[in-house]
Amino acid sequence: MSITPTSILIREFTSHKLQAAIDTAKSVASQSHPFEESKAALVVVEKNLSELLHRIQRPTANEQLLRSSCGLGLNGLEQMIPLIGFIERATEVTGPVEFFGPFSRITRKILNNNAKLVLSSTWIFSPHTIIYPDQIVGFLDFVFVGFPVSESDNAFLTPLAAHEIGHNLWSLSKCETEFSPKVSEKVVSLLKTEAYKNRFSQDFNMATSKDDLIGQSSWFPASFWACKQLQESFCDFLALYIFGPSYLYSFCHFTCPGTQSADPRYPPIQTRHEQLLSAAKSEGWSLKDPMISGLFQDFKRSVGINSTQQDNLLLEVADKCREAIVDEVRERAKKAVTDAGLLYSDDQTLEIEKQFLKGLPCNSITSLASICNAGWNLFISNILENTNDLNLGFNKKEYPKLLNELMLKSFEIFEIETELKEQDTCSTQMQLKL
Amino acid sequence: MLNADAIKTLIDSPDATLGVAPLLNAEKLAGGDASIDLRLGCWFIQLRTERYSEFDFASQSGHDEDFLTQKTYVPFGKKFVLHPHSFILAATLEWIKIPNNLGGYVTGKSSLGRRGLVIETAPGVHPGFLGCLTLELANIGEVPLTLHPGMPICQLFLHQITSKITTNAQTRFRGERQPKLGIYTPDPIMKKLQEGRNATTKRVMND
Repeated sequence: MSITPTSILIREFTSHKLQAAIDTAKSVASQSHPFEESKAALVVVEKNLSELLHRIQRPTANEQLLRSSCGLGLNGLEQMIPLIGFIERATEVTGPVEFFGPFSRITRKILNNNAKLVLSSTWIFSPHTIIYPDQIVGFLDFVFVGFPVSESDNAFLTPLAAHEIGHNLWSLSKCETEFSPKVSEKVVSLLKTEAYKNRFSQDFNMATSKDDLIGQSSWFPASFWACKQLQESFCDFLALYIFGPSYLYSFCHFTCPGTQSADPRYPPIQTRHEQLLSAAKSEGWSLKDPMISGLFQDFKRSVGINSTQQDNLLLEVADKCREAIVDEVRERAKKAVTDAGLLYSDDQTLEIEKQFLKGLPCNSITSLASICNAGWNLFISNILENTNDLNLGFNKKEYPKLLNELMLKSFEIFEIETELKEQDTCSTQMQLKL
Repeated sequence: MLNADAIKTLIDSPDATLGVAPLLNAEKLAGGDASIDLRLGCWFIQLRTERYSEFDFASQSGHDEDFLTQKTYVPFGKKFVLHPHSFILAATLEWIKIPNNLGGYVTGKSSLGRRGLVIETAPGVHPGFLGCLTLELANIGEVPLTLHPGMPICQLFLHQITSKITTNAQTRFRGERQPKLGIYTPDPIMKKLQEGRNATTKRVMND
């Protein structure tokens, strides 16, 4: 069997596209990157693309195999090209670069010592990451955080970055595998309740059984969506336990008053806010009152404009399922943060606020989160209380900018002090060994 | 001029009238120095010379800082090579807060100057200054100089202001952690002198 001219053309076109992407990745890698982690990510990109190219160029007489390899090549390109663009924007220094060092430490403590952070400014407003690490081979140790370009140097939004670590941890600690059977079980049990039994058998014209493969295919979307919603909730909780109320505040700043987006893989935005609020309250953290309620509109939940009755039934079940399991996920996130020694405590927050009020960045601080919380507390007070003693002669409009500068400088000082401390400890240990 | 003890007392005072953060060589202030050593920060600004032919000081300039300059961030552990006859703006690593009753000036370190590195040609630091100091660095030597963020780069001398300043002195460079090109505005007298001379030239030419 020989390869037809059409397939030869497909192979050549795909090869050209892959080769161009490999060349672009190399060219981006040779640019000036403030942090080496971006280059390391490009090495993986190049490796993935080269493997795809190699597979296409391997001699074969099997036309079907060739076409399928070309299809895989195109899929790979679709994944890698946005990533190359994302990393190229990591060469710009418009983002909160001072956040990189301290946040990298958090990333390593939560994930492992090989974890690598890539900070970029993305052109899309949301989400904060463009890829989920479990979806592309070779990136499980990379955390990609893209700040929206319009607010890329906004230190107040930095706690949102911790949400993205959650996606890595969810994959690395195999939470999907752990929670998936529970979710399926719950979905089936919900469908057997009076509330859903009749609706399900009417809408889908079948009885519910977990083991019935045909039945499973009908309720699988509910199970899939519930799992994804639990993953998003896990990421929210992880970030909350690391950054304390400042995560809640930055979440509110970023998402309020909510949009009518109907992505069934996410819990409704108001629910996410309520989940965070409830977790924050149970930690006993003091919260700024206006952040507690009324920030989000309650949109009607639906899969989308063209959704069917079946879709909406499954979404309702998925939401209920997430609601039933979310506490377990919250505990899981809290344990991960506690085990890493990163659970937020507001011990130093007031001290930092006092320092900021003097117009100085803070030093001798042991937690990045305290800096964010101090900044947020003063920012909200400045908006709501209209107090002049906060502003050091800066007008109300300029004052948040000063706070932003103080926070970023404090991040840098925190990193310098941590680095020096680590080196002192290291040299003491070396001396003791000698 | 304030000696090291006086500087330390002001820094340590509960209301932090004078602030320097981070103060990484605090132990030096216990000695006999009369200045604070400052370090090179991570931010640099280079002028994009390909984009304009001149700075004409008869017209206002600096509003389009993003167009005129390129910002670079060099993390600790990396370097910035300043070639002979090159000029850049940098910032001190330290964030400084100067109270209203003090003023100061920044000077380079002689050990660096002898190797061709000229630091800070507009050294006055006004009362009420807040932020990282912008440094003007030029390599007037013949050999490229490798700069490292965190290296000691200059020193800050402080003076008491003899008569009290009643309002919070506002300078144009306050509350910034990055170096700034800033805005240059020609003063009215200079403008009048220029316009007068131009009018005379025009009249002579018309005659």
